[in-house]
Amino acid sequence: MKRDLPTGDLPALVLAVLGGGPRHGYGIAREVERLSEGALHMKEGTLYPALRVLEQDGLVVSAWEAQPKGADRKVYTLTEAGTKEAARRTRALFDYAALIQTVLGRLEKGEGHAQLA
Amino acid sequence: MHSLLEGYLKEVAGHLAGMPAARRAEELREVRTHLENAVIVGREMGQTEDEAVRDALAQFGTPEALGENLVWAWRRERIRQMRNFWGAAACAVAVTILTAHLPLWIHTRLLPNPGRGFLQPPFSALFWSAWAIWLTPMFLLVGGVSGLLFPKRAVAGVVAGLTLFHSYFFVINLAHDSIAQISHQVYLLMLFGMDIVFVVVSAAAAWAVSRLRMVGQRRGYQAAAK
Repeated sequence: MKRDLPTGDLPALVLAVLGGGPRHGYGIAREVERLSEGALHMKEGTLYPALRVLEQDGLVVSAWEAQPKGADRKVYTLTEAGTKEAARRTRALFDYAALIQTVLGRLEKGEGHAQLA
Repeated sequence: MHSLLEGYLKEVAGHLAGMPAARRAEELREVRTHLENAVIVGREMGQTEDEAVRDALAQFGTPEALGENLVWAWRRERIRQMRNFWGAAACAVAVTILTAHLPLWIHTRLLPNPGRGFLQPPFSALFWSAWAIWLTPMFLLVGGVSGLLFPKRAVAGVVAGLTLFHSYFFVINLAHDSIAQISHQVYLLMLFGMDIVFVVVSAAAAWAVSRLRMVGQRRGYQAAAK
């Protein structure tokens, strides 16, 4: 099932993808789709404002690079601060996912209903 | 380029009003590159050019939404730059004013002929030199701290603060000198020259300190790029 990527999760995913190496914007969007096997879809217009914010915060740097074929591309790379922030936000997302799984797991077992009763 | 893509980019450009021309051109250049890549991939997957263009535009979102988000990001950057600039200027002036009382106390308590004003050569020259040397590390600290995010802007703010404060002091000294009827023209010019040198040296040093962070960021870029 294809679902839209929440805007708030986008910066963390962008940092995580850039942790695998420098990429241009199109490459970041495709990598997120590839890793989610097409299940996660981002509105690609939201990607570049998110990249600007990450640049302003000193977490990524960018540079135009000439390509062997076609137009120049703007490539983004994590800074040292960005690498640390990527690890922190990845950890936070993992913890959040585990928490949601715990809550839903308990509801499924009927624990929530028992407390309400 | 396909007419739909051109039309899309024109609409996005229309929503980037107020942004500097260079920044607007760069944003549009990046969006254009992205869309062209998407169309190429679509064609490689067997789509016609029209289909590939429509898919690429649908994935990108409306021109209004894109323009709004890009302008928001630009305004955020501007606000932070202005805050850093004026914050640095305010810090520089505040640091100088707060520490000004110490050399004044030294001057009135410890130097010969106290109470006759600031302009008594050669002791006044020594007094101002000592103050400049003593305060320079503080301005370095202000410039370095303020330069954490936008070094060039923060240094400009520190220079603005220093210049304003030194201008104020120069005017006050000039008024004092006139009142005391001391006419050391050469000495006043020396004082003014020292002020200019002090501002330039402090600004250069603050810029050098703030550059350290940019070097650190660049090293991070190079390490990440390996």
